[in-house]
Amino acid sequence: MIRAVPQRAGLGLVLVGLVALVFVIATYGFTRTFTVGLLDPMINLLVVLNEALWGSFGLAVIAFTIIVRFVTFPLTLRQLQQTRAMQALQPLVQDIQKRFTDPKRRQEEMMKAYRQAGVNPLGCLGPLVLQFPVLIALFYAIRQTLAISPEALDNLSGHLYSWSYIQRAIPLEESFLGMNLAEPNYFIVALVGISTWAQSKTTVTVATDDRARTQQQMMQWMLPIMFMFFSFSFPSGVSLYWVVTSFVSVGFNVVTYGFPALNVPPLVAPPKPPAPVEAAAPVSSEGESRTRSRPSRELRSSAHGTRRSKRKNRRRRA
Amino acid sequence: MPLVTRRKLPFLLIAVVAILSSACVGFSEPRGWAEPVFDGETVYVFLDREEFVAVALDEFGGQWMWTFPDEDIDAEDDIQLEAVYGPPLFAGDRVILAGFSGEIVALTAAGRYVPGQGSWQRDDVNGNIVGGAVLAGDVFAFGTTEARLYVRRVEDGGTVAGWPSDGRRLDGEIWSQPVVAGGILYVGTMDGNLYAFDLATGAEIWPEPFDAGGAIASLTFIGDGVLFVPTLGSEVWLVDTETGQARGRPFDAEGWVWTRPVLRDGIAYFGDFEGFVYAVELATGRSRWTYDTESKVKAQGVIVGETLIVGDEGGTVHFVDLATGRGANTVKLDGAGKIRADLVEKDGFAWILGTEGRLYRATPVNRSDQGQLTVVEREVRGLP
Repeated sequence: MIRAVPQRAGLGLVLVGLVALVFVIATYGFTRTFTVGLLDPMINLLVVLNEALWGSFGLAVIAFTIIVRFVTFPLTLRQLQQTRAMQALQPLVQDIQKRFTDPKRRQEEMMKAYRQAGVNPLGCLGPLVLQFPVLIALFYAIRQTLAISPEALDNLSGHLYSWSYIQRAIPLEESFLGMNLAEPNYFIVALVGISTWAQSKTTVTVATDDRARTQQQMMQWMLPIMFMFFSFSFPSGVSLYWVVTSFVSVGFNVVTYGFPALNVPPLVAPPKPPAPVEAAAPVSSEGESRTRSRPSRELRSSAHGTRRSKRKNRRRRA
Repeated sequence: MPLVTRRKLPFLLIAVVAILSSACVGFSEPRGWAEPVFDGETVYVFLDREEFVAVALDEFGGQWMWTFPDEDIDAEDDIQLEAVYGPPLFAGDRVILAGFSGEIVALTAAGRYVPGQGSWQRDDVNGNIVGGAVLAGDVFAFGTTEARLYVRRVEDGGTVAGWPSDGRRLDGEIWSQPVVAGGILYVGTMDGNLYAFDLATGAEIWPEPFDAGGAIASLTFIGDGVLFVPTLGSEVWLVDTETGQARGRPFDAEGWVWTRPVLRDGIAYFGDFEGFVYAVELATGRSRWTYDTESKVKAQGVIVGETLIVGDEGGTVHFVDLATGRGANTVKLDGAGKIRADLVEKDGFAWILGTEGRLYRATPVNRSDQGQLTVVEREVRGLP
């Protein structure tokens, strides 16, 4: 209950923000709001960074990506923690799915379990949805700033602030480490594959059965191949952003989840659990009745959640 | 376990948006903005990307004479100009086109690529050609985005003594069309330097290049030994061709200046990317008047009678009184797209090419009942 207050306050803030955003979009239109509110500041920041970093657009893209990822880190962290909490709940969720066949009852029990664990099943989507326009703007900003054709340079002029520092910086140098950032490049394509694979590898997911494990392993290879395929048609500058943002994500994953393969523990502690709420006795629609109170810690255990749950289940059945 | 987890969702969505944007948005695609060129009653115009047509004008519009490339001719189908930003060069019985892709092709006067009959094709150029080429007798010159300046023979596109086959390397990208005056080749670069070379020997003329302080995307020789040098740093310089020094202080515009001026009686009329059109006295650098089009001005205007006619990127044509700078009328060209190609004056009309491949003509003569200046569309596309 104590946690509910700040959550509601946060929700209120988000609602106020959303209403304000809808008002602005209704007044100025989506395109203009997106352009003036997100795209233009990003483009100008890129140009400023380019000037500050010895006229190297490659360095500007790297610095820019890192800055944006760190500015949005609170959102990312929240999303990662929610995902982690959701993953920790998987054993219980599976347990509920097994025990309750009535969909309505199953849903109720699952929502109860989520509530007890202080997890909102859609909670990890909120920060993600908020980050999405930022990431899209980032993509457009890099692509726009590269000005890979005369028309693109013409268009770019409309996005630049009238400060002479920025105006005089145009056009930007396109070469970086022997690559032309305006054109696709095999080296950066390879880096896209490696970084995406590393990101997949460090993203902790709970494979609860063989089928899920197989799918997970397949995704670890499919995603890098897919993104490498995309980056064949992108300017290298955009792919460079992709590489940097993937490596930053690897860092965030390690900070949040740790890296079990190297015995690296998570650097960020999981959010404090809420005060335990007495769970209602789960009653299956078929009449199986079991009364038990599940400790909230168990619901949030991530490292050994699956094993502990199975062990306890065995004990209970015995 | 879902196939795409929430952690991977944003990346997947970005990829989808990226692909859609690259396929559909096309804001970065080169399309070209070469101005129409007249030869008698024939107009040569790039309608869309690399579609080059010759049209014989008549009172009804025009008769389509030929188009290049002809997709039914294999040899022409292989030529990929991508887009063309500079006007075609008419050299004797050849028409030379320099494409953004770096390919250069010489066609016969009938607009056909016929190897062995004067036609040739070169693709040994490093970088993209943005500013177009300039003709100087039996050679032509052009620069590329890889900071290389080339001088080639009209006859076969081959190299010329004094000029390296892979181009003369400068410090900045070359986006402007070079200028030739008195046997000297002048070229501006996007790092803000202006160079002068002896066309015959390739030797540099000035002790050091002129530093304009901003990217030079356009360059014009305006006579009396003066170059008109606008920059994307919003300054306009007048540079002495002999000494390579500035004549007076630069004129400060409000936005990027990426256009050539139109001249009359010692006054240069030009626009900028903030939408302003200026009338500047060349002798003093003083501004006579300023007119606001409210949209970017990339295209060079024309003067017809006592009216300056300017097209902006909003697709609007402005008729401005030359003496006062007051707008006499504005006409929005529906379906024209943006006006980026330089306007051309012929027979008392301003000829205007929009990015949608439509050719219009405008006249300042009062021809309508409402007493307004008129723009008459000459529909080129779709003619038999």
